[in-house]
Amino acid sequence: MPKDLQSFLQQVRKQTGDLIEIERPVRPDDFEVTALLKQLEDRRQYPAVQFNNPLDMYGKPSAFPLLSNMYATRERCAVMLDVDPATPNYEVSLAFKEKAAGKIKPQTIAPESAPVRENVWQGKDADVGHLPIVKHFAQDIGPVLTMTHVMRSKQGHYNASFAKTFYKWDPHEMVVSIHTRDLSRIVKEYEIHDEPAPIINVIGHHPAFHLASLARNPWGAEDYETIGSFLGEPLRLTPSVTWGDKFMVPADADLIIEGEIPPGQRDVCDPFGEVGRLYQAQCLRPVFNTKAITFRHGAVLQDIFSGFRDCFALGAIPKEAAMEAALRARFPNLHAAHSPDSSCGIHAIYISVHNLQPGQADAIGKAALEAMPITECVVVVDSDIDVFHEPSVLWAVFTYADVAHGLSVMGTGQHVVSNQGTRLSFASTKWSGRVVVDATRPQNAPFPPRSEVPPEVIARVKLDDFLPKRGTVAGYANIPVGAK
Amino acid sequence: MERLFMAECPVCHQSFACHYDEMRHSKVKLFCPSCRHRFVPEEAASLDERPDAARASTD
Repeated sequence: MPKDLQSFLQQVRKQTGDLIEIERPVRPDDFEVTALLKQLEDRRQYPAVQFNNPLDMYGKPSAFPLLSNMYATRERCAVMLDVDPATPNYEVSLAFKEKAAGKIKPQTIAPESAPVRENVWQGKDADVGHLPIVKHFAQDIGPVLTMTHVMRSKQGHYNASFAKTFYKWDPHEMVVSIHTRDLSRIVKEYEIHDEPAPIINVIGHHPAFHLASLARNPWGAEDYETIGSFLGEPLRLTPSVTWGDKFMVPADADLIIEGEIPPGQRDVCDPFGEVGRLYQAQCLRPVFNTKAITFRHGAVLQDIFSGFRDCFALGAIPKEAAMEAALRARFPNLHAAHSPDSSCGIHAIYISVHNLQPGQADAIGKAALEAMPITECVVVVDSDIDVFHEPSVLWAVFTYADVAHGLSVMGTGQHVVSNQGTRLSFASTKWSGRVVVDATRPQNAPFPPRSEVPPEVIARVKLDDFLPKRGTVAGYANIPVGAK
Repeated sequence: MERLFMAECPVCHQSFACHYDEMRHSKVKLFCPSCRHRFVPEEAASLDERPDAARASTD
């Protein structure tokens, strides 16, 4: 069976077991979904959550369950990338890098065999108001569909990227917030020819499909082949309802909205509470005219809880993979890289190195900033500091970093430049300086060693062999760790 | 840093960030995310358009 969202949900039930289903009706457009996810986050609980009875934009029961928080743990991201969830840290980043470098050609199937063509709404029936669209934050301009969008360039290649399509209380007209270089370029290509630009929003598919759309491909790369690499099998495609074989769509998607961007038409877009936990400023973005909605039987609509754990791994894992790709050849003693949740998977990268050479911390930090223009802070530590354990990294900063000599501030900052003529930086705070913090152990003077319990004794003396069984000591049952 | 301005809705008095280059002088009506009132910047209850006023981001 081809990989799809349902097959992945079965895998989650078996492997990580952290998918919960909520039966009570919820109003996604009245913040009820994010209110519940926020309360889970406050409890430091990060299950994937499927709301089985959400209401649509008319306040009526929607035909589509709503799935969110899927990316909130690296363990589930590991499963998406065929990595053992017991090793969810740099192993996942390395798997992402490997899959991003791969290509598997897609396979075409007939529409009558394509699950996503089992149901087709066209014309006046293609009303997005029947979907359970989430309004996430108090100042969001409206409910938003924020998953992978696909466009096809005039040269013929398909580009898949995350974007956001905002519901505007109109059955057929939305506004799409495009922020990636390649999708923006494709919009411009069509505008130059004064033609409407086809665009699809793939709102449900195997989560590796969406992870693949975060791979940093060069212009001209065929993203459907990259997605195949992430899935580990050919992505099945089928002709779209609107454009036929001129625009092929993922056959095993749960739900696809086919739309067109009319040339030159813009509408008001944002605020939206973005990845970095700030509202994006109101601006003008392309209009999205809905042409068709196609979906499989039992389709589930996917959403992302932006600004919270659900989206941090989406930023962090591709950046960690990019660090590996950019730094490994030049710095073979690179150990690991991690973009922490505290930086929303955007602003900071922690890098650990083996056997640091003099001056190397500064060099590796600057090389990391060069490779990742959106990153504002790089902290370099020794390999005995686990970059995935932030208290350890901060301990190294507070203990080892020499403010007088260990900071490199790069003065003028670096901004992403879009082809829309404005400086864009995706949810960045955009301060003008960028910094490298050398938090490696000082080597140029006597320095006391870090205190450690002998590891051979930790290996010999197993905690669970010594702890009393649960419930055998008064009050022990309330301690969250211990032998069962 | 990106130049933004904050606009206060004349109806519900919610303030929200707007992209300066695209929204301040383009005659486009702002859209209040709280009450959906549409207004041009000159109709705002208040504007904070100091060059370094807003530290929120645009995409």
